[in-house]
Amino acid sequence: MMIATVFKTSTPGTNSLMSTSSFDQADIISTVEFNYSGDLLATGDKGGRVVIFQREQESKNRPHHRGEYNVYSTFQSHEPEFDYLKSLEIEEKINKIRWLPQQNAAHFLLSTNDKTIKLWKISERDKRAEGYNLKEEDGRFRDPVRITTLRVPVLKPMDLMVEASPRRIFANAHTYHINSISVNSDYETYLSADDLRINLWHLEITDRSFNIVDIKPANMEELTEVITAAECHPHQCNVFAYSSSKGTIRLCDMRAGALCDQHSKFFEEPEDPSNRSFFSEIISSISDVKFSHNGRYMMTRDYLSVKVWDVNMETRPLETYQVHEYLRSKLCSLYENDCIFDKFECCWNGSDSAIMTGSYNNFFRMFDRNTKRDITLEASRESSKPRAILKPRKVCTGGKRKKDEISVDSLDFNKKILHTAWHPKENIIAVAATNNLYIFQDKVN
Amino acid sequence: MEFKVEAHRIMTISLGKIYSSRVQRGGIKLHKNLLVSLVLRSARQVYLSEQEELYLQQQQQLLLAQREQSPETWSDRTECEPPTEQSPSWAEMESNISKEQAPSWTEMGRTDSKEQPASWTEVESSGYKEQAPSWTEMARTDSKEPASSWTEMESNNPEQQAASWTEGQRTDCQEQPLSRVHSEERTDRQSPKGLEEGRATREPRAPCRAVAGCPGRLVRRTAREQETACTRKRRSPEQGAAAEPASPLKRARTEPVVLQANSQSEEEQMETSSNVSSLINIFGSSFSGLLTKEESEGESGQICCDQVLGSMGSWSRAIVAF
Repeated sequence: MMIATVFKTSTPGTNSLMSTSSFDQADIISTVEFNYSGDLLATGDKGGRVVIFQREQESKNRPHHRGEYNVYSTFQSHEPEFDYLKSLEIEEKINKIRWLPQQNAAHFLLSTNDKTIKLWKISERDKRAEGYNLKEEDGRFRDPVRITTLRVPVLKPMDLMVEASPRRIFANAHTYHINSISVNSDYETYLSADDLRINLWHLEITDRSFNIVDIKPANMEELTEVITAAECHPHQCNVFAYSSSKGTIRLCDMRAGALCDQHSKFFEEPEDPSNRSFFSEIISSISDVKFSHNGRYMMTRDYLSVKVWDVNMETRPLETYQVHEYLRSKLCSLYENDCIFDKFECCWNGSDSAIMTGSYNNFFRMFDRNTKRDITLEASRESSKPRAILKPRKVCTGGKRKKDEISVDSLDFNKKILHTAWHPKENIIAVAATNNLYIFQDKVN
Repeated sequence: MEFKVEAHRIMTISLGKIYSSRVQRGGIKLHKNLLVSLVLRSARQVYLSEQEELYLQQQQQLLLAQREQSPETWSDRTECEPPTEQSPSWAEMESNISKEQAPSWTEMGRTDSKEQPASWTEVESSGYKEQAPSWTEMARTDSKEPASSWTEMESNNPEQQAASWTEGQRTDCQEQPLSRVHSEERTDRQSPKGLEEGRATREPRAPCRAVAGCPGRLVRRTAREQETACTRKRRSPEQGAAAEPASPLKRARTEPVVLQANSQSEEEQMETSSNVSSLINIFGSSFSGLLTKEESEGESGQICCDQVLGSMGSWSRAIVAF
């Protein structure tokens, strides 16, 4: 099992001396994503900003600074907008970031808010040309009359500058709030999903997209479920999956037809009648769906559990892991304070042997699929000094509270970890706790 | 009983969420509101089923006592009538009414049966004309009222949020029946319940012990009646030709059936059933369970929401667009 050491905590907008209780709402991290190599880590926040961290190259000079993540680039991806037709404000919060595989020196990522997806190019500039003929070094134009000789400009090194520029803007294709984007394995197309529709885009074409799933009923009065997440299959570019608020997952094959309203596979686990309550429907709503790296499994997160499904078996999940079952008796209070609507994400490790998801009180949970062991860790300043080893935490569910255990009633439901990411190859994890980003690494002896 | 209280509390909380979602940044979140409406539906089902049990018990007791009473209390007729007992007589009445006949009061076991048919036909013939103007009047005023009650609720809601979700809520619940009763008395003269007066049953007005369930109860009882009332009132400007009972299709179209008592009671906080329905309408009634789950419930939701239709018109359009 993983023992974690802390790399770095990053709190944009505050210094380390300030308490984390007073922070700007705009700094709340809303998405975390490693790129394909794991060298870059992107975070999006409620204020529409994207911050990219880059892993330092290992060097012999600084052996202890093996692979630390430092800020690489920061840019404003989305601004608040106003829809005049509907008199609605469109939030600038970044809902999802997805990296594109790297094909040249520049990096590309897709970032989306509720309505608009943007393709950003992040490129480095470390050289600059000097010795222009027509202008001075400071930019002033030279008087052409005075130019008597010609010279060839020379490239000189300069301080690294990272530029982010929007290359494509994919707008006006979604009536409802976008909840997912997913890059296809063909690296040419990607899908975007809102509450009722899924669209397929080509990365080069911004003025149109294809609608491939539409679950909007003819009469909105008959609406019973919405799409909550969608993802492309990691290898099969014709396959994608989407989850619903009813706790079901549909796998669709784009070869079957232009419209994939008819699913190819339908995954649903029958509800346990003994657990029925007013809130059964809410807690069965799936908040995230992720294919495993090998494409054989799917993982879904609902409010209280994580389930691993075999893509070939529709009747029931392969494995079910309880994240915080002790909350089942508190559903009414969680409904009152809106926590029951929190959308937790989940992620696989690179080898698909472990899964991770967040919980409350800045706890996050990791499950080892092979050994069936699980661990609860906390992402907090106090327990996360650099190089510190994280101590496993335990929530006391009843009876006598042991030392170091936390009782359910003393959990802080404002401190929730909704977004986590796992390095695609190594045991490095990024955990977003409200406005703080924690990066942990497996201890290497 | 505990379930009922709990269900009511959940209903109130759900409504509060739906209210506050309207002013949230970023627009109405479809997913969250769908989930809230599902909870609302479940809570309402539990609440109404508990209600029904309660009234069935009450009904048994009242039945015996009321056989001797005169029908003068028609206007005071409580909305708290269980449908089961009444259904047969309503059905009968409906079929009779459609032929512009006096309802068969014999079913009601009236002692002064002569009076009733007379008053009934009187109401029927003149009532339509009377009702027509007052009907439209009420429709107009009602359109304002719900709006005001709407904003009232909205403005009160934040304050209520804190207060209402405490234990105190239960006492509020208890108080409401009385106030509603009063409002009924006040408005009975002009209310279209005048029409219903003619059809009043032997029930005198018994104080409603349940709260927001009352409107639900009322409309459940009057579900089928309302259909015919709907159609009749619709045609009352057309010389009151009685219509066939509204076809099921017409249920989908919201008719501004005004129930003064209900609209007034709606101004009360925690009139959850009527609010439920009005809010359903706001969201284009997605939330099919709330409207179509059971026939009677669907109609009750329909009728309740009709009251605020005037003010909700623009919102309905907006939501349909949404």
